[in-house]
Amino acid sequence: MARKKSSYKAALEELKKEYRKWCVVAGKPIIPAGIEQGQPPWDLGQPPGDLPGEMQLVRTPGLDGEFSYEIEQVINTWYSGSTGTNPFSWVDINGIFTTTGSRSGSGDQCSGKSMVFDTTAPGGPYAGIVLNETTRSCSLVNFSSSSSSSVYFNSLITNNYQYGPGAGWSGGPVVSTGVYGTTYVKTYSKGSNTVGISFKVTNNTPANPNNAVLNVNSVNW
Amino acid sequence: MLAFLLILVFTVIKTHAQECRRIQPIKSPDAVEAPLAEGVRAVKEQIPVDRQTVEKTMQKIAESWNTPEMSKKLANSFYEKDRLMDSMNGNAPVDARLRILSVGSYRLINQGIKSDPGGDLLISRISVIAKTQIEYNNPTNGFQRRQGEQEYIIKITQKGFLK
Amino acid sequence: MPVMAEDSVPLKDWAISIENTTRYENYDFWGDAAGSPYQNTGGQFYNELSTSFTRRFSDYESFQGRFNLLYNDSLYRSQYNGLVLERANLTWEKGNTRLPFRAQFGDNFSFMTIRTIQRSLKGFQLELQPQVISTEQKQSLLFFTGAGRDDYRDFAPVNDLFSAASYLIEDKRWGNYSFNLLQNHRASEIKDGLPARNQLVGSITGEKIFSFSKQKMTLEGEVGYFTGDYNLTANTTETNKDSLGLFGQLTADTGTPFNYRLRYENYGKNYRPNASSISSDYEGYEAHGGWRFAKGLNLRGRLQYFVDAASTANPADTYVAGANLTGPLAVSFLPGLTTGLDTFIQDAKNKDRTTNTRTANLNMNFGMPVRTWAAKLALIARNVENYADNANWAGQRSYETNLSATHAIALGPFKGSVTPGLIYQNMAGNATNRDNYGINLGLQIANAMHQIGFDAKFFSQNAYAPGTSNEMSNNAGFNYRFTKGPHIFGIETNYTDRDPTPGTATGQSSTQAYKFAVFYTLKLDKEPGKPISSMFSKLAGQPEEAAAASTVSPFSIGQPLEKAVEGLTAQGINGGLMQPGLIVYEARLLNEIDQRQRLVLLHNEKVVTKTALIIDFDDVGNQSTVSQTFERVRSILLKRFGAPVDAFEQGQFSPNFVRDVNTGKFVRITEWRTENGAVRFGIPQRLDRQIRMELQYAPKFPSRNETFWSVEEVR
Repeated sequence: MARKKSSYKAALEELKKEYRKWCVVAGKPIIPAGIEQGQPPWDLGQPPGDLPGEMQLVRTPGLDGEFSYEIEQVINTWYSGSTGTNPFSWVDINGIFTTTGSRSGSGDQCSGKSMVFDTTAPGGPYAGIVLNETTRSCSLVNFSSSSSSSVYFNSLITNNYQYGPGAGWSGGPVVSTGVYGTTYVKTYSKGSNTVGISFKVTNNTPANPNNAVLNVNSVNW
Repeated sequence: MLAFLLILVFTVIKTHAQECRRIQPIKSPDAVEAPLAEGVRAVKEQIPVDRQTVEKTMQKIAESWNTPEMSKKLANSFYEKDRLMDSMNGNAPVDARLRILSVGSYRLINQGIKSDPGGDLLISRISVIAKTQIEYNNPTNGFQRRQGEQEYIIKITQKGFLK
Repeated sequence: MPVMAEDSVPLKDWAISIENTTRYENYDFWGDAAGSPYQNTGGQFYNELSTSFTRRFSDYESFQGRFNLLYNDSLYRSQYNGLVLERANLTWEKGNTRLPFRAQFGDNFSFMTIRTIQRSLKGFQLELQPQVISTEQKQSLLFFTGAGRDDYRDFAPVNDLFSAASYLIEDKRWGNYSFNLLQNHRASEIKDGLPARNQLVGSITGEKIFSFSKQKMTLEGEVGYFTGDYNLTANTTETNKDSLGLFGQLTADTGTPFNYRLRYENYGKNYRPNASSISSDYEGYEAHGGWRFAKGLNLRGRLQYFVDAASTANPADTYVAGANLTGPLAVSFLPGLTTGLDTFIQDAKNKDRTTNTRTANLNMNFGMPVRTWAAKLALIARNVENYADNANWAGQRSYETNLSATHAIALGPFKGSVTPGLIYQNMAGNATNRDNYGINLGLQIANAMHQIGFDAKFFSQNAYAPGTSNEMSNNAGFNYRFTKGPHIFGIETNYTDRDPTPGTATGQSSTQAYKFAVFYTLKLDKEPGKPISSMFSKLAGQPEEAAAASTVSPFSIGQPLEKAVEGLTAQGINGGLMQPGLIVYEARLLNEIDQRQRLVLLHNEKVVTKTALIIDFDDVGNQSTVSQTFERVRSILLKRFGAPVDAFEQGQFSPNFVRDVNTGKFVRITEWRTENGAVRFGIPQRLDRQIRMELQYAPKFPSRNETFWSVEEVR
């Protein structure tokens, strides 16, 4: 019985010592009971700092209330530079999702594509855009006559090129003063269907003006 | 009765994330002790933020992208925040989602402690690199993927107790 | 056995922390490759080690180091294979010298201003904060030089080297001003045909707070000057250009609920610092106003005008008018309703009118507790009208509704939440006629050691335009995490199934893709003053400070009643009052607290079933003594028991404290786990409406939603 009493006493004393050791009175800094072996002594002349010490973090299982966050900045890494899409950049978001882009169907083989003029074409060199208004498709051909393409291009004029609507399509006269390197936006229609095409014709080499390239930017039905 | 667990207080550490840098005081015997921001004190030893917390944060960022929560998760000082949210609200299709392909290296930039009646808040500013991918379905052209790799500067607030 | 001298124990005074993560992932897909989110398949592996070590020499001097080392065999994790040093930093800070400084080697976040540099660099940074006599003033001199790199492999700083100097002065009366200078050098690249490029950016900033006609105003501004070279495209360079970048902002707090902010930005065509993320050739004019209603409701309005590509022949003008309302709405039949309402009209057009759209958007968000669910409803309407010359579509509109609700769940020791949700969108116009709908479900539960998460999404897109296809997609994800001491083990899996035009093959086919990942993380810490072996003691599963003496303390549950009473008598705690099923002692177990304390032993005549310590408040009407006393007791217990497994609080200490506790609006419960059971501390609700603190020790406790957990019998 005496042994049990003394072990209770020792245990309770242990408990009380623990409480007293870490006594904190609100507003006063933490004062350790004594410099224990192993703790570094404070610099002479400077009281122990009142910077907060170690924190233990609450782990609250269940609801994700463990932490909260706030995004301050999102930039492309040095490696990815300007390639890649930044989901927090309005320029990139507009670029992917903008609703003012081409709305052609799956048969659009023109937007963003180029076609070299075929210099062997008789009467040419020609390049042409073929449009199908029912399927809203578009394709580029490099040999054609004006009758088989919807919009045709001829680079044999000196210092300029010629373009105009082909069979069944209307929207303007044949223009013979197309300037190389300038972007044009023209609208053509057939029946009740209308299409707007943005295109540019470039000289591949200034020395050889017959070697031109038709670049189509976009096709909008 | 349904009750929510934590009431978290957001604080502004006035270093970084503003138009111009502010002084982060070096503690010295002569200088007057100045807080990092209202109520935020410096920590004695920086407490590392573990990878699990950073990965969970990136996951939450991806989950809140293109949802009504996205705007709340951007700091007020996020550059061109209005233009980004207008773009998202005006243009992003409903099924566009963000996927985190990988979480790369991260680094603790600075840290502070703020007392709160409910406990103490550990506020850490982290720089983390992540590879992301925007995914959505275009009925004409099919499944679309847009990859990128960005560095995110994030302020994480964790609740704890001073020992 | 000779005892090792203190000084020779290596790294004794350092705080060290190490975290090592090993991760293996496997990706694969079947079907159409174009439909898979994962393009790299197969096994991917990496091992990452991050370490930080700190030595504090005095209150004012410290040294810290950190580094992240990666061994990579994963196509997703890094562009390199093998060993990569990703981040490294050494910081030395000394305040107790004539010239306090902070020196950093390695990674540092270099920030001068948004218009000059705001990026992570790898190099060297030195900050000096010379002391000034006046306490009203602070100064800082900052120098840094560093390379724009994401890691240290193939480290050639000359490819993108920044060097900068900045002087900043903060004066309480005169304001904050800084002078900044930044130089960037990029080496020539033969592959892309780029020459060596240099640029210099200088800026002056100012910020001043002043009063004007009873308003508190903050005026800030920056004038930046750029001169040098920049990349126009990936392989062309503009050389020897210069430009100005201007910024000004006025923020006003009128002292009334109204506040406003005006902002101006103008960046010239050639203002292109490589480390700034502002857009060049841009003008922005913004006016924001806000009205703060009572009870947290906030209204904000904005008028914005942006010009992009301002100096080109075809600039784009964007006009935006918007309003935003957030906060709780007091509607009597909808208690707890919070709302977020955002609306804007945007007019975007360029000079040649190839772009000319007007977008109107209304976004309404509501949140409300409904019975035991937290419900959220979003209603979004969007309308885009197109007036561009060449386009053939006039407009496009969409309506969307998004409903979700979260419910807390508890399954035994597991607590968590389940969130089902619905989404429906209808789009029309511009060949986008579409009906989209989706259903999703999220679930997460966890206890102290295990965490489980699951989410599933189903989405169906039905398009009604020629040349388009419908699509159904399913996504499911599952993750599990096990945490014990320094070990964390986890599994993550993810499955995607995409089926265009189900039932018909029209050129696109279906895809199924999955990702499976498993990882293991080990965290070791060592506090200063302890030997290195203390880091590894956690591995053996022994806590460093064992919760002492719980088996032999009078707080032991299950002890025979006589022994408990004897034990207390031996401590001088006697004179307990017997009541049916319990014994009450007047005993001060917490010496630091002056308030009245009573120890209660609850029993079933044979053994102790529960013990409690009741601590009274001196004056429940005095809000600050009540909260101080409570916090004082709680911090003693936190030191004694360590981190709690649960901390639940609701409500604030206020002059209505007594009423709030008795209506269940104010709840404080903190719980710890010990070997024999659980310890709970807090302020329970009582039938007799008395308010006091109680510390109870029992095998387990009822759920936290039951606020009447007091020992009612003891008044």
